[in-house]
Amino acid sequence: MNTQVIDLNRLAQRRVALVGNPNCGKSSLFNRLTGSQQKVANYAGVTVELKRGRMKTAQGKSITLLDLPGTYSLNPGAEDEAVACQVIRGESLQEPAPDLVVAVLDATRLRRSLRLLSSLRRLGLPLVVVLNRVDSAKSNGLHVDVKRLEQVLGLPLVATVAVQAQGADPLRSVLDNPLVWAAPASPPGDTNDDVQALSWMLAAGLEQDEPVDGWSQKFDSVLLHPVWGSLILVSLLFLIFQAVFAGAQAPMDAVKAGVAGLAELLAQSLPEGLLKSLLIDGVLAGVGSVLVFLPQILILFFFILVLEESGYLPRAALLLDRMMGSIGLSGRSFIPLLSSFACAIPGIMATRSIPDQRDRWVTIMIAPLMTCSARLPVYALLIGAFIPAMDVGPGLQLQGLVLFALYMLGIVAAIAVATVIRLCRGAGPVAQLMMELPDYHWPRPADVALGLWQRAHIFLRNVGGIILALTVVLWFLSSFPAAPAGFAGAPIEYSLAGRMGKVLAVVFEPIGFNWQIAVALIPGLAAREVAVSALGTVYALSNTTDAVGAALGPIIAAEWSLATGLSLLVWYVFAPQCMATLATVRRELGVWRAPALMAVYLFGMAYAASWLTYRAVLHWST
Amino acid sequence: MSSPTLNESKPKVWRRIRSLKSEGVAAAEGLAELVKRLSDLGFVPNERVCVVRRSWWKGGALVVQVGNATFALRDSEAACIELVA
Repeated sequence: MNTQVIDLNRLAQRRVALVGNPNCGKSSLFNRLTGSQQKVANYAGVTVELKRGRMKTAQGKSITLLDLPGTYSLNPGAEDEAVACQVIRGESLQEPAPDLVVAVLDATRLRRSLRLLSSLRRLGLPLVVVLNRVDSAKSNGLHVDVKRLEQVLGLPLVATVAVQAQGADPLRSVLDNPLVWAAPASPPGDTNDDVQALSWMLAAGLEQDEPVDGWSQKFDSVLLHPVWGSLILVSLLFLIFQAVFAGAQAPMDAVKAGVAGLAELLAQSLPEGLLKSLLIDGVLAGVGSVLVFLPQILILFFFILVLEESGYLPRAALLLDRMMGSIGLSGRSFIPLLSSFACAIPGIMATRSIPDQRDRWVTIMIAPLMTCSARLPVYALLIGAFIPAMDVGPGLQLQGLVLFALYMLGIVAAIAVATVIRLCRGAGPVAQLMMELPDYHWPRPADVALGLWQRAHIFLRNVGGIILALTVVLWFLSSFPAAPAGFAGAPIEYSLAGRMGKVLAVVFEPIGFNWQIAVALIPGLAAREVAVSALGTVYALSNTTDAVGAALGPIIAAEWSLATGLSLLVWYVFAPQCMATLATVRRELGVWRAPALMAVYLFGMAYAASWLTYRAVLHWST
Repeated sequence: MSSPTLNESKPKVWRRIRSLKSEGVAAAEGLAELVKRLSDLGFVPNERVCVVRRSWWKGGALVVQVGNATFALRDSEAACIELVA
C-alpha cells in the first residue's frame, strides 16, 4: 500500500504532451482521457494557451496531460504554434519539458502526420504514437495494418477512436509499460521529413492518401456556394439570435421565480434593518438580476460550440474573407474576432495566431466591438423592457431582430474602424490566408457539454466573485450616509453614490442618461454585466414602496423614456466598459499607448452614437 | 518555359504538383516563408491537387483539395504552386 502511494505521487508529476496536426482529433482525445479532470482554463475558446488535465492509466496511475495547440511542423509560422514547439523542446519558461510526447496521427491524413512525427523523433524524447480516426480511414477505404506500421516506425503505436467511449483505452494501457518512458537510444540525424514519411508509408504497404469525394465535399458544394452558402450563413446567424430569446424564456422565468422566492423568504424571516436591506436590495437584487441571463448565455454558446466542433467555422471565415479582405484583414482574423463574441480577452489573446503584426494590431483594436457575452444581459434587459414582443413577418420576431441588429452594428462599426485605420496607415501587403477546412463531423455531445459547463463555470464564478463584491460595495455607497428624517425623495439620493451619480449625470444628460444609469456605469467599468446588477440595487433602494423581488425590466420600462433605453443600448455597443480588456491589450501589445487609444476612440464613438440615437428618437417620437 | 500554376487550374480537375516556385511571383516579399508554410501544409511535389471552388470575383480565395485535405488559399498563394503539365 505504502509503495503504491509513493509510486502514485511520483507518477503524478510525470508530464505527457499531446502533439499533432490541427483538427487531428487531439482535443477530443484530451477530453476523453481527462474527462472533467481538466483545469478550466481562464477562457474557453480556441486553444492558444495550454490546457492541462489529469488522466489515469489502465492501472489507475495518475499522469498530468498537456494539450498543445495543433501544429503542422516544428518551425511554426504563428505564435500559438510557437507555444507548442517551445513546450516540446523544453524552451518554455512557464512549462518544464514533458517526460513523454504522444504524437497523434490522423489516419485519414497520414503523410503529413508522419512528417510531423519524423521531426518529433529528432528531439530525442520518449515517444508514443497514437493512430487516431482509424474508423474514418476505414470508411474511406484505407486499411492500415497497425502491427506492420508499428514495426516500420520502431515506436510503440496504438490505434484509437477518440469519439468512442472506450476508444482511448489502448493509450491508457500502453502508458503503464515502463519501457515507453525510456528515452530512445540515439535520435536520428537531419533527415528530409517528407522523404522519411513517404518511405515509412511505402515500407508499411500504405498507399498515398487517395483523394476522396465524401460527405464533406458534397456539403461544401452547397455550403461554400457564393449565393446559397452566404444565404445559409446569414439565416443561421439570425436563427441563433432568435433562439437566444425564444428558447430562454422558461428557464429565465424559473431563475426569476427562484430569486423572488428567496427574497420573499428572507423578507419574512429577517428583522427589519440594515442586514435585511443588504441581503435583499443589495445581494439578491444585484446578483439575481445578472443570474437570470445564464440561460441565454448558454444557448448562445451551445450554438457557437456546435458550429466550432462541426468544422463549419473556418468555412464561415472563408465566406467572410472577401469582406475581411476589403477591410485589409485576412480570414485568420476571423477566429480571434469570433472568440471576442464570447469575451474580448480570449479573442485578443487568440490574435497570437496571426503571423502578420499589423494585421494583429488592427484585429486587437476592433475586437472590443464584437458583442461579447457580458453585453448580453444588458441587451436582454433593455430589449425586454423597451422592444415589444411582436411578429414583424413570418417567423420574424422584433426582439430577435433588434438583437441581431445590435450585433450587426458592432460588426459594421468594426469594419468602419478597420477601414479608417487602413486609410491612415496605408494598404500594405495582403495577409496570408492558407486556412484548413476540416472534414465535417457530428459534434460529440460530451465535448459540447464540457464546453458549456466551462462557460457556465466562468459566468457563475464572476457572479459569485466580482459581481457580488461590487454589488455589496455599491449597496454601501448607495445606503450611506443615511438620509436625515424628513428628506424629500428616496434615501439613495442623499447617499454618496446618489450624489456622485448626480454630478456625472451632467455629463450624460445630453445623451439621455439619468443619475441612476450614471451610478450603474461606474461599477460597470469592471465588467459590463455588473451594470445590470448595479441598476438592480439602485432601483431596489430608490423605490420606497417596492414589492419585494420586483423584476428590474418593468421598473425601467416605466421610469425611462424609449429614447433613453435605446440610447443606453447603443452606448453598450461601443463603450469600452471593461478594464480587463484594456489591461489585456496592454499586456499583448506591450505599450500603454494602444489601450489608451482604444479607450478614447471607443468612448468617443459611444457618446456620439448615443447622442445621435437619443436625439433621433426624441425627434421622431414627438 | 513556365509550368501551369494552381491558381490557373480548371475547377474539379485533378493535377499533380511539380514544385513550389522560388521566384518570379507577384508576392515576392516573404516568398521563402510562404513556400515553407505551403509545404508544411502538405503542398509537396508529386501530391495530387484539385481546385474545388473558385471565387466568383477575380483574385478571390480558392478552395483547394490536396490529397484528402481541404484548404482555402489566396490566389497569390496558389500561384506559387506549379503543376505537372
